[in-house]
Amino acid sequence: MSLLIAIVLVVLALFSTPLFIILAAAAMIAFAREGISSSAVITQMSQLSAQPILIAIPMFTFAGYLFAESGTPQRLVRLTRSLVGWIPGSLALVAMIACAIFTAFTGGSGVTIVAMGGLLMPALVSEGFKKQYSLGLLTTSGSLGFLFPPSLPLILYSYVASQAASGLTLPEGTAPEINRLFLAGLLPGIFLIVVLSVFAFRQGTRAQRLPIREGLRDLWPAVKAAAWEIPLPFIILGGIYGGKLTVTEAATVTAIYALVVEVFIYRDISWKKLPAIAVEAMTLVGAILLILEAALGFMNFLVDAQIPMLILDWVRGIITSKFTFLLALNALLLVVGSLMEIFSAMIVVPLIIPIALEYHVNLVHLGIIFLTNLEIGFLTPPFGLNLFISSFRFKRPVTEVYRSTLPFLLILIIALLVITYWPAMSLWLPHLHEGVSAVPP
Amino acid sequence: MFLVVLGGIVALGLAAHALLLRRVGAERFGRWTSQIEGILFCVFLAAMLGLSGLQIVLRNFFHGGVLWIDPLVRSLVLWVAFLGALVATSHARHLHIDVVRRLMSPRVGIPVDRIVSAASAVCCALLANGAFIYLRDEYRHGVSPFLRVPSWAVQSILLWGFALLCYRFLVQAIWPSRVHPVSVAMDA
Repeated sequence: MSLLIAIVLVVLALFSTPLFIILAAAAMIAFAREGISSSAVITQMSQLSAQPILIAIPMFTFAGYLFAESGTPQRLVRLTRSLVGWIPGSLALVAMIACAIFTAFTGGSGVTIVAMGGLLMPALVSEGFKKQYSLGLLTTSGSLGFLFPPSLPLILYSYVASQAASGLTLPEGTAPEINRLFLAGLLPGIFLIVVLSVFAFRQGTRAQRLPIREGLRDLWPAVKAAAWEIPLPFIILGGIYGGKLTVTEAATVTAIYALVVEVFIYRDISWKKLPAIAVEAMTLVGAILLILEAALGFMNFLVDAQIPMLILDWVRGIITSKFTFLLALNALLLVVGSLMEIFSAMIVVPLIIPIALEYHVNLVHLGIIFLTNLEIGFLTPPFGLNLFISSFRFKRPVTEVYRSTLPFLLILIIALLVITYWPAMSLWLPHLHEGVSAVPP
Repeated sequence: MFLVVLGGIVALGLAAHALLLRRVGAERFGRWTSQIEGILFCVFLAAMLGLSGLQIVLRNFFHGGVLWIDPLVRSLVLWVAFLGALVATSHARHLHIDVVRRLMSPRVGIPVDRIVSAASAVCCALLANGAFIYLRDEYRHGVSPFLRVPSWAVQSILLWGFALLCYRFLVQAIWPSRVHPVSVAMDA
């Protein structure tokens, strides 16, 4: 009977049933079999109005959509270009940095490819980059910003992981708090860009022999044009780490700032367009929050039924060292990332946390591994999300996108292994900030 | 008992929907709903931004704050989540795995969409039932989160939300929208 229900749910899920329905149904059925009323699932959903951190989600999403609709992408590209234009192959670097910043603010990787792709693709091709290379680069850049603050995926991981780990005793300084995760993501995020830039540099010296001369001359005008957008990252990070703002407040400040700057100062967005943007952004927010709470409702059942412990017992029989555990984790998460988009993938967090703790993996480090994996999973054939978005956006067959993305994918997998097996890269900054000198293993 | 009442209300809603579709036409009807959605979201967003902004100013510059602002804004998140989910339903924008669906021709795909929407509607009806039980308890034992507004009133969106989602999914099952999710994402 259980098997039959499970099969029906999986088939429905594969036929594109909203995932929150699948999760809520699974939770309701599971609770019903234990004789618990369906209101148990609702109790979890009512938590939406009890968690301060969740306010950050509508705020950052609204800000992200405002930026996407405004002239920010253009100004961002111009600025980055004038800064690094003197390096051969710099336009590839420009694309990566601009996309990473943009992704961090909008969270959803699809938006980045759509908003930035149309701008960057012709520029790359006209400056001598091969079409196939440019296609791969932009597809890859679409999710490059997950590790940078204030990325929504990091906030969500922190929320889900904290709920999953509540009741467990964590070593001091390893609780998956959002402030820690923001700091932990910085170096690995920069590392990914640097590794990809080396590849871009090689391509660039071949394709684009002359550096962009006008680069530095355009620096001052470019800075002036983006004068209102440049302070924002400093306000957010300075506010959070200077102790002036909580993450939630930083989100509010970002949304108000974006609204004032884009509507009143740059006037890129007219009053009339605001309702449409609000609807777009809040639709995404509704979809994210509902799936999050349905997943947590399902998690309550799993924890009640001690499923994570059963998995742990099973895993313990096969995997004996932390080394092999991390390898298996990476393989699993790559598959997850290639099948789901980032918000649905949060479902697996509660399942892996007890196991990760058993193998002494720091939950902050786990978050960075988790997001890096998803970032790469989006590029993994045959189903990775970015591959399809890119195929639609640039009107190229998806097989061509596969081929063009493959070299980037291989480089990123190597970088992933470095991030996985070198925890200090992720944990050094948070420890430095908190004044803990020793990095625990 | 609750499910019977809900079924009756949803059936009435669907009848009204069919009547409106015939009277004003699908296009104008769609324009009205999206205008109402836009206005609602703007009001909610403005309230959230205004109130939390005020709270930040009060906290940082006047070392004080208003007690009821934080719980009110948190409640608004719950309301916005459900309103957003409603819009996501009518535009087929819920997060889903569309690997298999993408491969289907419209002739196979649209009947599949109808079945999926109908199944989702049933699930939402059951969730609304759960919300009803939850709210009944909340009515008896709930503690007001702010300004003596009863907690069941704040949480009642769980009931309205799922009832309306049930209705929206049925609308999708009867009059499937032809918007493919990916093409919508492209327009964003």
